[in-house]
Amino acid sequence: MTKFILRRVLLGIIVLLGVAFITFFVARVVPSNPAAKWAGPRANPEQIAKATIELGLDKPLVVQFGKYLMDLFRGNLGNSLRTRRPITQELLESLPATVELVLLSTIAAVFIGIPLGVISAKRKDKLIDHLSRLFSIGAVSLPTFWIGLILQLVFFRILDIFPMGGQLSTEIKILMDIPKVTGFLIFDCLITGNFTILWDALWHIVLPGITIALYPIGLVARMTRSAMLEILNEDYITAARSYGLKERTVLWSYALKNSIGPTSTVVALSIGYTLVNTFLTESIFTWPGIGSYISSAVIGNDYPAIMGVTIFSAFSYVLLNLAADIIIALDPRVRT
Amino acid sequence: MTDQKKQSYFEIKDLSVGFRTFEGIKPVLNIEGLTINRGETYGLVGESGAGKTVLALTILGLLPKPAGMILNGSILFDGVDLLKQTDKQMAEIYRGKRLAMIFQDPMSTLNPVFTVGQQIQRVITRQEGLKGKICLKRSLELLDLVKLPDTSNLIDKYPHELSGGQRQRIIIAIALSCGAEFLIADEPTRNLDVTIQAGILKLIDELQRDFKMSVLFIGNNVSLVNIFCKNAGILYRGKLVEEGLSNCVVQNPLHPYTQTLISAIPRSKSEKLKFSKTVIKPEAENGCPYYSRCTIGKEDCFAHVPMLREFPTGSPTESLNTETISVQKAACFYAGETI
Ligand SMILES: Nc1ncnc2c1ncn2[C@@H]1O[C@H](COP(=O)(O)OP(=O)(O)O)[C@@H](O)[C@H]1O
Ligand code: SF4
Ligand SMILES: [Mg+2]
Repeated sequence: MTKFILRRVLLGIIVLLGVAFITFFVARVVPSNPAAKWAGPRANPEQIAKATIELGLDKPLVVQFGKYLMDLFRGNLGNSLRTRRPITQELLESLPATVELVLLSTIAAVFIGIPLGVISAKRKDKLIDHLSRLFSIGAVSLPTFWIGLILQLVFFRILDIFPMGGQLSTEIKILMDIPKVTGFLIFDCLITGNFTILWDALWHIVLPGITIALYPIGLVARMTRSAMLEILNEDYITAARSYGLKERTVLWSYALKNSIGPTSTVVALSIGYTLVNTFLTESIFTWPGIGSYISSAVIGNDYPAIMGVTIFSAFSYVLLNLAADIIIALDPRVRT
Repeated sequence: MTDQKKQSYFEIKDLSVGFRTFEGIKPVLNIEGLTINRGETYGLVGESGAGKTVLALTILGLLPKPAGMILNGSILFDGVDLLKQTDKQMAEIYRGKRLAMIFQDPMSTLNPVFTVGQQIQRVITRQEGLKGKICLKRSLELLDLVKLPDTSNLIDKYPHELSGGQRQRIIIAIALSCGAEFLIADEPTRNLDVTIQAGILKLIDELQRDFKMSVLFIGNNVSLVNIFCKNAGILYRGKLVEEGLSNCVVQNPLHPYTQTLISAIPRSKSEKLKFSKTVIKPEAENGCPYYSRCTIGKEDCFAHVPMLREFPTGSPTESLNTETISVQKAACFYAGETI
């Protein structure tokens, strides 16, 4: 098992190197002049030349790439061209808001998607299965931005139940002290017992939360269903029934545990997808996370920031894949 | 068939089971009657695909849904028609408690993601309400009962760490953990090494005697059934074609199919059952199901379905003890003619 995981880690590192390589060169091919950007709009050619040296842009690409890798290794993603602040630090500041959304959708995927899949498998071709299929296919195939916009239209414009965007109401942001312990707003409100803000935060997370959660819920429900259908046909399930075990036990313990491998792989992979989805959703709901960060980076031609977010996403993806692999490896059949 | 004897312990009547397919309902089982008395062992023999497993699953109410369909008939067990029980009743009253089954493939019958101990204990907890230490003790006893060595070590193992023979013993232990009175053993040694087969069969035989169980023993080998089953039935394409005391059936097979089975008993493992494929005849759609393979079949076999008929036992070879009054039945117009 250790060997298996080690091999996966190595593979992950190779993927990350590849991503670093690609982002680096793509960023260099982008035709706008980063040194000019760095020097500011009113800079003269001399100042730009100085900035070029300062940024190391005059060195051969290989040397630049080497330096870039060394920095990456130290967790240094360089400085933002717009704010001049370290990108790593800016990312870490906007990370909690994004993680909050991703976490919420993952919890929903597990606690709604898996039961939905199990029930659909048990009641195959019955009404509930058809409804769940309809829901899942819709959830997986409708574009996220469309869902977001529709939700805004219905629940903000027409019904006016939920706020249109942001993480908190403006009044609260201005009038109250926002607790800041871990950076995770909901969690911080909980541990400091600040329920007014907590309520406001929960109110705000509903629409972006649903927008993002739909895809993983649908995907997980479908995958759980197909895994369960296969497992329910296995001899050991018939045998379990022949021992007189309750159908509930057979379904939710005997069969479900066997489907954990495939299901958790899907959960882990859908988190990666969700992360990317979040970027889009955040701009729709003006959610102060990494998604909003990257949109402004793209608009501002802030190439180190773009590279940083790309590397960060790739890193999360590799990590989640590794997690999925480890969960599969925990299966006694694979374990050696 | 009309004589009203005392109520039998286990009796199948006019059972007909089919599977839903794209071409409509495919009949798989058609059993006019099959009776097993309390404490007796009945051996059911038939080639692969004859419908043996389907019969076993039908008895337990575990036919694959929704494909498997019971079209007709009844299965009386201790006075109750099992086919009329709800799934809940089957799970609460019969399966595991009074009826138990050993499946044909020990490799796929244990759940791969639970340890042996977890699997046995879950059943013991469910059936006897035992928990914790007592439950563990009981499961160790059960493993002892099926003659597995080093039980305290075995209990924490996962199925894939065990051999086929060990698994089959564990499956027997689980199936019998609640002292079931009626056991269905579906080809329990079919997928096992020859060297292990005898041990498993001996174990089932011993347990049957110790617990005074009634057993429906399913096999594909007539001579095996003869060793420890009182009665034997031969199943061909879902139909009982011959039935009687097992030594009568073996020594004096009436149906051409049974005769072929007996003359073809493999003497070594590599030697498979062989059939005389010399005659190529059409299927008799409205006639005897065995017509296409039968060497003595005539025109009337093609046009009419032979019913199970009774024959006086032990006709030519008078080697039976005279006290047994029994009948041998065969579904063949020319029963007794040798092929
Ligand atoms: N799930 C199923 N769907 C359709 N047909 C089936 C199914 N299970 C069994 N059958 C059919 O029932 C017949 C009997 O199968 P089975 O009882 O497994 O035979 P065996 O005597 O070898 O145990 C076979 O012809 C098989 O094609
Ligand atoms: S009824 Fe005819 S075809 Fe059928 S087994 Fe007997 S002899 Fe053969
Ligand atoms: Mg079978």
